[in-house]
Amino acid sequence: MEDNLNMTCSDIRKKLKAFLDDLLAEDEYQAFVAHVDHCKECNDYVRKIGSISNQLWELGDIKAPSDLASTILFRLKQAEQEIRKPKFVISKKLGIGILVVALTVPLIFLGVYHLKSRKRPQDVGETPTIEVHVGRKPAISRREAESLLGELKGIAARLGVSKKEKAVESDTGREEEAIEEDAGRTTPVRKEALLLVPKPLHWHFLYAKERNLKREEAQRKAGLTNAVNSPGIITDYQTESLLVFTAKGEKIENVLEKIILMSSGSSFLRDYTPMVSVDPNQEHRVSVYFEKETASVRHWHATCVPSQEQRLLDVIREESGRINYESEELIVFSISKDAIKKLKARILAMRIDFSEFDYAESKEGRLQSGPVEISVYISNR
Amino acid sequence: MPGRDCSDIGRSTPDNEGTVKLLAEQYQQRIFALVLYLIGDDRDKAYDITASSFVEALSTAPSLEDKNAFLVRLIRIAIEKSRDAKIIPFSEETDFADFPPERKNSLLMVKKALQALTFNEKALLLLRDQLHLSYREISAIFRMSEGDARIQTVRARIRIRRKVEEILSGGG
Repeated sequence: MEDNLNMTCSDIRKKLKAFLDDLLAEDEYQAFVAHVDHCKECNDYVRKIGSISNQLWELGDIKAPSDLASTILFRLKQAEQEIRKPKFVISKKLGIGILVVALTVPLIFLGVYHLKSRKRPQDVGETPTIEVHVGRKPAISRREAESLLGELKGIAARLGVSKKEKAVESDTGREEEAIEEDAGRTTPVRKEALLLVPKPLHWHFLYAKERNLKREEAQRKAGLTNAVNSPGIITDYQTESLLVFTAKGEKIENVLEKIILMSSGSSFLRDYTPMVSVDPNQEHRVSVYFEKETASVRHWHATCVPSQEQRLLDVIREESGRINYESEELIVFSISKDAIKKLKARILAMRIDFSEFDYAESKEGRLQSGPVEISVYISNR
Repeated sequence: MPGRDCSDIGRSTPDNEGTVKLLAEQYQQRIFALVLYLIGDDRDKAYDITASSFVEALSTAPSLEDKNAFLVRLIRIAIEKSRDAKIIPFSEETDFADFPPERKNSLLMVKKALQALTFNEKALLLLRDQLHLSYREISAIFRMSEGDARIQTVRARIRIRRKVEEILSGGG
């Protein structure tokens, strides 16, 4: 680090606020951190400030288990020894094949028959699956067969691979099982999880703070919708609480500018877009939720890896009554009040990050009878 | 970040046990904390992930001369492993039992708010505010541009502030 970037204790006090707001240039930030790491007095001084950033910093002070370093060294040595062992290599495929044949041979001698009709290998989902076909006249009871199936599944889970198993019935009664290891399956999912897929823009526009709208609050919503109703901007979907429009990036910036001028700042507009790269020359879609503090828009956010998205959409389609609007990142549907709880439970069971942006127990919500309209904004993690 | 200046390691190869021990001791606590806050209240799992992340990072590092590159690799591996782990909500038990009640409550509140964030949001905030990584390093870990790393971290910070406000107002 260059000398002119070394900070003094006096510098720390001057730059404290900027540090806490994460507004320092990177080299200053690193110099600040370096000084605070080595200067106890400044460390105590900075940490006294009860900002959320500092508290996140303080949360990191938990003690790691004392034997962690030695465990790391031990495991590293083990790993090195494994590499150095003389190798009789059994490939993973062969190993799994031997294991499964060894387990299924007893089944053959116990008289488990496969169904005559061939069954296509099932697509591998996110969990390992193994099919065992049980014939019409099993020599063992169904309960015993299911117990064996459970054991095989447990083995598959421990091996941590996804398998396709094809059962072939030959005339002589011998069975051949081919097991394919879908070894690359998890890696693409991880890559997808790391790559953030850009999603169109998503705003929440708080246009009214009180039930009885003041004049300027009524004008605020009108101002935004008027800004959108201009040449070059296409309205894709519009209700009282939701507006979806498409425009080139430069037009969207014009809309933003009008909002800022109209509301003397952008405090009314909250941007929930997971990833922003607004290209002025490219078209972007924007979804805008109009909110009043006293009333709710039934609106959820679901954050999931791309491979979960289709399942999520399928679940929503199954549970809802009608799809009102659908785009790449947003689905708006009508659903009976009774079905909402079940839908939420199914979404949560998928281990999807799920947030509700409804203001609970709004009077409108309680009074409303009939189907409820809900919109779900889906973003990628 | 404590111990980021590893200039005393000098030229090193993965075979150097002393170097490895030094790296493990310098980074283990921060990586353990990072993993724990990502996966929730499962210290055994956090221990396992931390140890296996170090082993993987050390085994695959061409050399340990570039300490920052090693750290980026280590953190990336730890985050990937944490992403696959089942997340368990934190119980009210805390490591800060000896703290004054007000300070302890404040930390618990932030911890609760952190749990409500998405995985990526948590990771970004912890990398910036807890480990004090630069946005360049964060962007290398997440394989995104520096600008996007900064924007998303700022958004995550806004979100956690809102969550803390919700909790303070009794809505959390």
